[in-house]
Amino acid sequence: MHRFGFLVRRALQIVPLLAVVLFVVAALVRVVPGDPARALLGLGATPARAARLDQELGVDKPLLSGYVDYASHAIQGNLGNSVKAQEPVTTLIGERVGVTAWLLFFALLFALLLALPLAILSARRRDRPLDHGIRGVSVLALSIPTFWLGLMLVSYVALPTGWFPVAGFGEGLAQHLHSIVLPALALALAIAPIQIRALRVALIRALNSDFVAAARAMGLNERRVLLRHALPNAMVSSLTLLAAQLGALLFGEVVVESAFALPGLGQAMVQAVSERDYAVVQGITLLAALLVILVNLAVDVLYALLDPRVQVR
Amino acid sequence: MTKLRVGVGVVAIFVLVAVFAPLLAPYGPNSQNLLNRLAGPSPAHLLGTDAAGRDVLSRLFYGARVDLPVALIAVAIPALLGTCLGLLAGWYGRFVQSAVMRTADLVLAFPVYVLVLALVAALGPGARSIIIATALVDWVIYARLVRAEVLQVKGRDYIAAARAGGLPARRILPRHILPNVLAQPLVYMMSDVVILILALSSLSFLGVGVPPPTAEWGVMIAEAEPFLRVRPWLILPPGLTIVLAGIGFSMVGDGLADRYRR
Repeated sequence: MHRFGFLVRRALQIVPLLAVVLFVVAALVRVVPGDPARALLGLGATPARAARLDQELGVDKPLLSGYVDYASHAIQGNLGNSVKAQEPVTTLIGERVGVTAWLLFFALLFALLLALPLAILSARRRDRPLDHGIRGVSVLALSIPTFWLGLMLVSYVALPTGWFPVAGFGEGLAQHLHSIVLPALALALAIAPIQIRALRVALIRALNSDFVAAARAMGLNERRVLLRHALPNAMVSSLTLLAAQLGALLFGEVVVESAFALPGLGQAMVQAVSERDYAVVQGITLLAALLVILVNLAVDVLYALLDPRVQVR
Repeated sequence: MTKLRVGVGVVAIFVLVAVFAPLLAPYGPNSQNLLNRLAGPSPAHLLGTDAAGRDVLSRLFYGARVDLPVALIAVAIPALLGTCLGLLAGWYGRFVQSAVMRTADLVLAFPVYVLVLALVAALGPGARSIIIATALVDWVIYARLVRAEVLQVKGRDYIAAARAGGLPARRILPRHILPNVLAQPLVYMMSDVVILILALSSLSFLGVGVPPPTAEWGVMIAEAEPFLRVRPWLILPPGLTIVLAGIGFSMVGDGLADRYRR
């Protein structure tokens, strides 16, 4: 019953947060120096057209009522119109969200496949040469720009071998899968180092704890102790890491989509930023914030379900 | 300790190159030689030339004058702001604390660099926008770090003694608390510089950071991209330079962390 109360309260916390997030997103156009409509349409804009756009972006009204308009429209699923693409922002997001979801999914999958064995190796050979090697490479990997890594994969893997498409998303499932491999790998390599580091620490802590000593004392072999007892524990405690890494993951997504010319939300965001298509920037920013809020909520809930020690706050 | 030394050494080299770029660089960053485009390494051009016939090595050197100062300023402002707010939030109870921390929670509801990107859209491209956008977002991490530290230090005896001695907060905070909570933000600053160098070059690569033809490492990679098929090595020098700078600052951070842990 306590648990249930915690979940409800935690879920309700997102309501005020959402309200303020919407406010920030709506206020984004207000920071534009001068007149957003002029900045977007250029000097050749007719006054009538500029005035209409100002009205659409809500900057002709006071801040608060502009916010109320944006928020109430957003809740009804209307995020305004893209000036450049001449279509509703929601349509544009709908067309592109698939590519982004594919990339996110496979990047996370690859990162996990990479981080899990390396973290286990590192933790079992703690402070031996292999451990130092893995940790050194992770520090190095943290300094590699993701877009550069993408271009490196293109010029030294895709182009010489001809095994992978260099750009675009292709047609049909097989081509999608084929063209997502390298971008997902680039993104995975960007987030794996932190996962390796955190998982290694969590594993070492678990391997030194009482319940693992008990499992060993019962005569279980080391392999079983590690996989059945230490690893699940370590994975639970590094669950929050996923939420913390989401920001880096989403920015990496933007960069990788541009490097591989994948027609996803990241590419749309960059295009909208350079074209000053504010409604699109607002819409995608809102979506990204929504994702962060929901993932944080999901992680907290999962955490409470998995770890009975989490108490009502 | 060796980590710290090597790191400081690498960073020092970068700083020296940035300061003395005009003396060290064999050519100007934007002096073109259209008769010698996309050339491979030679004694005259140690790292070859780019698509406009500019010397790659010289552009790398001049790039240090853009990437390093922008990254350092972009880190210093939020570090300062966040440390001050964290101090206040940790020291003064409920109201200040919840005001600062609720704002921090709000900022953290956004994916940080997506928000920076959105702010750059609003403020217009360029280094100045990136610095402002980072300042608006990045202080949160410092505020949280410092606040947590202050809450720990606050209960120590020497603070109680200072209070009992009748010292006002404006003296206790900077003199007695600040020096004891600086370790964490200082260590984080080093990884933050790495993140900022990566973010700045990424945004420039995306065309919303430092505008071309400025010699900036991300711009150089973006300018090399159309020639991946014919001159794949052109993306190597700026990319490896970014990696090396990142390793330098990371090692300083790791070294500092090791030192403080003792």
